[in-house]
Amino acid sequence: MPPLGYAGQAQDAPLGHRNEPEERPHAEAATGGSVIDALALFAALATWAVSTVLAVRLVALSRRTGEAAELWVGLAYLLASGVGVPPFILANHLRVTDPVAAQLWLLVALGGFLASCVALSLGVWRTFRATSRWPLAIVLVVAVAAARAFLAALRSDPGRVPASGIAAGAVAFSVALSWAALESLSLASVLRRRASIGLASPEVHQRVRLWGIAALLTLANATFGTAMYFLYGTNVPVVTTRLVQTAFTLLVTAATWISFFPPERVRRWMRSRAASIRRVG
Amino acid sequence: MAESPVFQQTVSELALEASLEPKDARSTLRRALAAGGLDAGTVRVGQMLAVLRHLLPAALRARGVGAAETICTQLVERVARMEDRAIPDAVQIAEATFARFGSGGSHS
Repeated sequence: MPPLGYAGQAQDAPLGHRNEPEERPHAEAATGGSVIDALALFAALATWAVSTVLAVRLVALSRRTGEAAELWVGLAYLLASGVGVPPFILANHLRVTDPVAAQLWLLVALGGFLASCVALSLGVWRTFRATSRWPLAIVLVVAVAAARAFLAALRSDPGRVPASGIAAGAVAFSVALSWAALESLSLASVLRRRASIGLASPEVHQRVRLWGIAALLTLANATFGTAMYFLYGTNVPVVTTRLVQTAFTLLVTAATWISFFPPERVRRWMRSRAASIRRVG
Repeated sequence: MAESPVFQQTVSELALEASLEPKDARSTLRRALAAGGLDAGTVRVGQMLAVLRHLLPAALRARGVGAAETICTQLVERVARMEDRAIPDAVQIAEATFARFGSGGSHS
């Protein structure tokens, strides 16, 4: 699942409402800030690496197969991490010394994140509902919301994105991720039943389920960050928030990698789970 | 949704073998299919055979039908001879797509 709510955003609010450094609680930041910063950076780098490798492999696969599903899912990872994360980290580092450049990089990152929402919804359509046309309506909702959010950020002063723009970004993000979670978990449920009578691959069942869980965790991560912002405003407990979001990010990254490329030991575990499903079935 | 030819023929055979009303045979078979993650509109011969072997005996016993295993064995023989027509199955397509995702240079 594209890491749209990656750990580095923890000290930031949704879409441009950001705390300035002097507004952070100094005591908490001083006690564990540097360790958390290192952990968050590690999580961001792990996410970036995993997403980039996944993206490259999926796009390469699409060139061989000519199928749209792997192309769009691969682009979703590429846009979220390859395009989104490095400019986001850069913007974070520049925001005190060069706020204008920081804002530009933040726009690039935001563009990457929002475009990845659109790519993800196209990927979900082509992966889970390839024979239906109605998902086009969901894709359009995500695309329009993403465009509105980006235009709102483009036309606003740094840190002053209007509420409608923030809401549009939240719609693009939450619709794309919720749909991915819903489709993968409902497919996993059907595959579990089919696997119980030997009609589906138990390994694919577990991988689809993990992808759905990764989508849910990504949503939970973003919801947690947003809730903390609305609860605490500019006094967000930075260390706690970043610690929780870093944990979410690492879990999402691990679940995503295993859902696509499970190591042999995990494959064996998946097959043993299949045996227990068969006994129940 | 329209029922697949295999489903319709199996309902007829089941009603005959188990001495059930067609509507009872239909609902019993539908429930067994649902337990296997299948539906009446897209079920094919191979899938129906798996349901007859693994799920229908228990569904028949739950309805109070005697000799459920014998009935299912006879149904398996008849269904295996039915013509199998390709019907697009969204679940199979999605499963194949996701399986392909893991083949991008990975082992297995």
